[in-house]
Amino acid sequence: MNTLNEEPKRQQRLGKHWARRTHRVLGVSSVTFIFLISLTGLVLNHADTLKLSTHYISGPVMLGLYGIDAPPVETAFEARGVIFATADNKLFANGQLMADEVEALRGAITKDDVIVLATDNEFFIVTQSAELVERFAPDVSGLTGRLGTDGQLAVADIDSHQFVFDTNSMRLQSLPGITNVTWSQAVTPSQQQVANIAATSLGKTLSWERVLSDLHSGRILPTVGRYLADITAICLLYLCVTGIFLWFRRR
Amino acid sequence: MGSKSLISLVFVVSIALYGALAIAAPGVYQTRTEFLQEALGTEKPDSDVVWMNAELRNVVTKVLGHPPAMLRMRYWYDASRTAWIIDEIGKEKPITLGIVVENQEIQSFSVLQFRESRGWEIRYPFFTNQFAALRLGKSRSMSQDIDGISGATLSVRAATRSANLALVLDEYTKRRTQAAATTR
Repeated sequence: MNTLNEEPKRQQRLGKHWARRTHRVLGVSSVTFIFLISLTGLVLNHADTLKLSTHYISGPVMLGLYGIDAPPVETAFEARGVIFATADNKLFANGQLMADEVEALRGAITKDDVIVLATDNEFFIVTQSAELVERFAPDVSGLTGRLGTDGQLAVADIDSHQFVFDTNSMRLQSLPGITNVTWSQAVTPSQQQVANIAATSLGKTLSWERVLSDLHSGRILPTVGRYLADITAICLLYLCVTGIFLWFRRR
Repeated sequence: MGSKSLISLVFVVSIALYGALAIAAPGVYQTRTEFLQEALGTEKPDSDVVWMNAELRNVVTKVLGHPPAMLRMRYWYDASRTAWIIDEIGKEKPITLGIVVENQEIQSFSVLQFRESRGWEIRYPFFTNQFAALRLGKSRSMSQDIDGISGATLSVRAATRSANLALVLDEYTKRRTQAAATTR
């Protein structure tokens, strides 16, 4: 009988215990953060399967949050009415992405029925409809400074030495003394093309994996986010400790 | 162990770890000229191209899981071998691979350039040796499975796709040569 009377009192004491009260308050208040961390963690665990690194966010709000601006157009050249430009290590043809991992463009010329492009360290053969036929990085020391033509040959100026570029074998041959070379001149792309380049480039800048990873770690919000993540982690640890403590007390 | 000995040990281990990481870092492991010299015994071997016609484009798209990036693929060859340099994206950046095929079997497989921060372990022989003597199996896939590397899944997949592509294109060039010889 005595025991029966004491049990509700014990429960009442336990209910008022500081550990239970703080456990309850912290548990309820950290629900949102725990839910966010668990959900993003789950999704990130399957990032490869879900192809999160190759799916991108292009919304202006998110890009603004990350301070990502449109990349400037480095250089642009025109051939057969197509404007070729490099920006953010990408090659664009009339504002459309053509190739990744590209250095600055140094010239664009027409040779026979194709267009030849030269970057610092590569040559590109492109059709008149701006389809990439082949790209090739010759093993030469030095960077291409200019690309031109004497009307028949594609001539590259590499460290002030003239080379002829064979578009079939994709080989460079040192051939000094070529005269009447018309060097490709840089042009300024239209505003519409710059806008297209910006849209295409920005569209492949911020991956879902990066955003979810930052959400998971709290880095999505500068400074504050990290502290919020720290507080959530401390809350979780506290909930673990007080949970075990209360479980033992009840027994 | 005295404190001086402990400090020395930590210093030596740190230097060794740093050295190991520096060696393993992404970068150019072999230039194209070096690869061709090793593969075909000359710096400037004969080269030819394979044009991606509609039929081949479908096959390549099936092998790679995406359409080919270029309209033609260059390869180098001698009397019995073909050498292929293939750029294939692992996670975000292309991995440059050099593959030599002889008698429809992979003779050598090497990573020429790795640009990403993770997955460079595929350059080591414990991985690349798996490709030796592999050939095309059923439905133009590889004759044997390739063991993966933990943490380098996407690089392993890119390497496997590239090896498969080299075998498919080598087979195509052989058929093309035979057809040309028959026509003559």
